[in-house]
Amino acid sequence: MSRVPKQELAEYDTKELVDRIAQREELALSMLIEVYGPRVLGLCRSIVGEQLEAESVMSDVFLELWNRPQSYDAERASIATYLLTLARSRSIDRLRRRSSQTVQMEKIMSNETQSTRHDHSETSEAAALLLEKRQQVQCALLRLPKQQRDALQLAFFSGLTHREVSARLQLPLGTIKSHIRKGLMQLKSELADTLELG
Amino acid sequence: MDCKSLQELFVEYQLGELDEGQVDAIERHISNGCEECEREMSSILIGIDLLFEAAPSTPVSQARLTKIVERAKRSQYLIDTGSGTAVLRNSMPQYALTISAYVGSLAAGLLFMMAVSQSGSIPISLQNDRASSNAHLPPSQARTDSLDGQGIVPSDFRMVQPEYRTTEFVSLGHPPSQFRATAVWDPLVGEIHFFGFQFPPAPIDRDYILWVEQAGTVPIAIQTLRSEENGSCFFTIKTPLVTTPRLFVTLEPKDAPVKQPSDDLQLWELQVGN
Repeated sequence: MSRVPKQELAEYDTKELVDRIAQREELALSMLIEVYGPRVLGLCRSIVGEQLEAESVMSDVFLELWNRPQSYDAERASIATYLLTLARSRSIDRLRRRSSQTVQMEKIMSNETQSTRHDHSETSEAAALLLEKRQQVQCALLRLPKQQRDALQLAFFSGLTHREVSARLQLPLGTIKSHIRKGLMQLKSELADTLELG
Repeated sequence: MDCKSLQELFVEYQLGELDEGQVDAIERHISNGCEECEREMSSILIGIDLLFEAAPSTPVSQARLTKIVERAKRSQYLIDTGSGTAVLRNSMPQYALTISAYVGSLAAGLLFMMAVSQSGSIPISLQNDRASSNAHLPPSQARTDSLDGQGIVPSDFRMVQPEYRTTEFVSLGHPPSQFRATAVWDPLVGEIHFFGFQFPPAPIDRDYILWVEQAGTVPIAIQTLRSEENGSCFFTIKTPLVTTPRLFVTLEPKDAPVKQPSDDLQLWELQVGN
């Protein structure tokens, strides 16, 4: 299979892409993987720890959309959020199947650093188009108070539940919920206008 | 719950971490017209959208991308039993007619998929019908019945590679005989495709838990699956290198009282491979 033409990637419209996937168009699936695959894989890897297993989870995520396109509701969330929420959830399922969960959780934490190594290694043209937005969000994240940032990263990128984040950071559950909520609101208020969201 | 208590759950709601009761409470509250909560939910969602922009990123190799698309192409046949059924249903052997037409169509769809994706000329071992009759047996008896995939080989299915093994099992479940599935082991890529139908197709969206154990002891997959509107579900389990070709498969509704494989529940011995 040849790579997706750059021009097509640059002009992609995610809603149209999902519609085409619902019509079983393989090129549309390829394009979606080109655009969102790196982040889905990065998140899976950040949670499950191993490259091969992360790739397997990533495949499941895209195949789930392919086989059940009706499960995505464009009114409810962006396709990125849908895919990454699904990736997070499937990665957690995979992780919990393992018997040595505690050991794996340790691995997750050490992988966080490793994962960031890949943050700027995307080579696809589509990913480059998203780079500026991504950098803005990363800068906004860095400006958050440390406890909010840590809570968000553990909950979203390491696949911990709120309760697990609470145990990890040794803070009450209510405080963790508040940090996560405030962190998300802060991101929104800083960036939503700039990035033309909401 | 009041607005404040509900709003504290919004992030977990978006991450799919709440139980059914909490999800219902939130959805009912918002659909009843609470604008404040609707705004709050929308803000949380935008925040999550933004946060995911900063998710870790790892390049996807061309080989991996191709493999996903190839699997998608194959699953197109797996879930679209329409054309497969039309072509192959008339060719189904007598024993297959004794199982439900739904499951028969499913098996035909699978075989059709394999037939079109492979160009070999050696017959496949096809499932037999013992699983159907097991549905009437008490679990203790059913458990001992090995589904060895060595049934009749119909002449119409000679386009499939011998490496594939398919077999069929029927959940005794709660209530009995509600779920039927076909398993196809593809040792070339190390995957087991399970293909299930809830029959009759009610209730909608019922969750099941499926365990696959190697030699009855080592769990290699535990998966929750949900039947869709027409009662179907499809899932693929990637297996590690299986040292024994015999797998034990347990399937039960998620709301069943026991949450782990048990001799008291259906536990089928499924032989895949040689």
